[in-house]
Amino acid sequence: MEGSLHVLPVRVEDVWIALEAAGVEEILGATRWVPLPGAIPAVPGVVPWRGQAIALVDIALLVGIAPPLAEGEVRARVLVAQSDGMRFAIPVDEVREVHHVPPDAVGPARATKVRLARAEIDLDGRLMPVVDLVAAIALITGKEAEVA
Amino acid sequence: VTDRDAAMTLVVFSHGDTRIGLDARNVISIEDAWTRESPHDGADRDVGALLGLPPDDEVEVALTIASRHGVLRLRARRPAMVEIPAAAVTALPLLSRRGGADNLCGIVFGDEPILVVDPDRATASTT
Repeated sequence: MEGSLHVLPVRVEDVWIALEAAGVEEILGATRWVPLPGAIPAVPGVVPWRGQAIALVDIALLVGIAPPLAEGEVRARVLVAQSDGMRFAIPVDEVREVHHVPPDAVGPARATKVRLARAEIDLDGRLMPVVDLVAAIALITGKEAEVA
Repeated sequence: VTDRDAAMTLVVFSHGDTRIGLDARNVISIEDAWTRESPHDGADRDVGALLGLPPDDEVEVALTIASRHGVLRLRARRPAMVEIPAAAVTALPLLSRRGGADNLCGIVFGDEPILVVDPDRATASTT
């Protein structure tokens, strides 16, 4: 049984997913990214952030809700997130405010069918998967061939 | 220790839509008038090949770069010399160090970003 969660709902194309708010550091506007030759589709380039280059992670591709980002494709919002000691950028189309989800609205992922969902929440009557960023980064760093 | 306020000179090549930079200290020579019909000796790959890019039909010079691992001869489009603060070269994050990024040591962000090649890795991987 999951405890309560603080989640940040985000939309890519017409699909809403939730990310744990604790993993998100900042929300930027549309940000141009630089493609890297030979990069895997799940991490196609880098984004400038506070004098650093941070990896752009195509979370929508990883969870299977959108095709790979095309070169030059920019989404309206970019989340700066951190997991397992790594900081990265996640492009999305829309972000809503952080929600506190009580334990009775959190359950195992059953009805929503996205990869890397660690739970499912009922947010104002809408079922939404909670995507596990730790698992997403582990997939990239440990099993990138499967992602590509 | 690198003085991040110091200026550094990059030799910047265009390869398709990609701009590729090399620290000028590693560039021994740039020779004019290269053509595919009369290639310079030993320059049998484009600079873009260091990043896994396909050949560029517009190459026109041959260059020689040197590193701790040896000397490498490459073809390229006519380069530009760009002086930047050393701090402008931003290291690539661990998550991005895959595939063609193996030979990269950093990126210079801007209207036309520059991918900066690590000459040691490039020569080690190709000589």
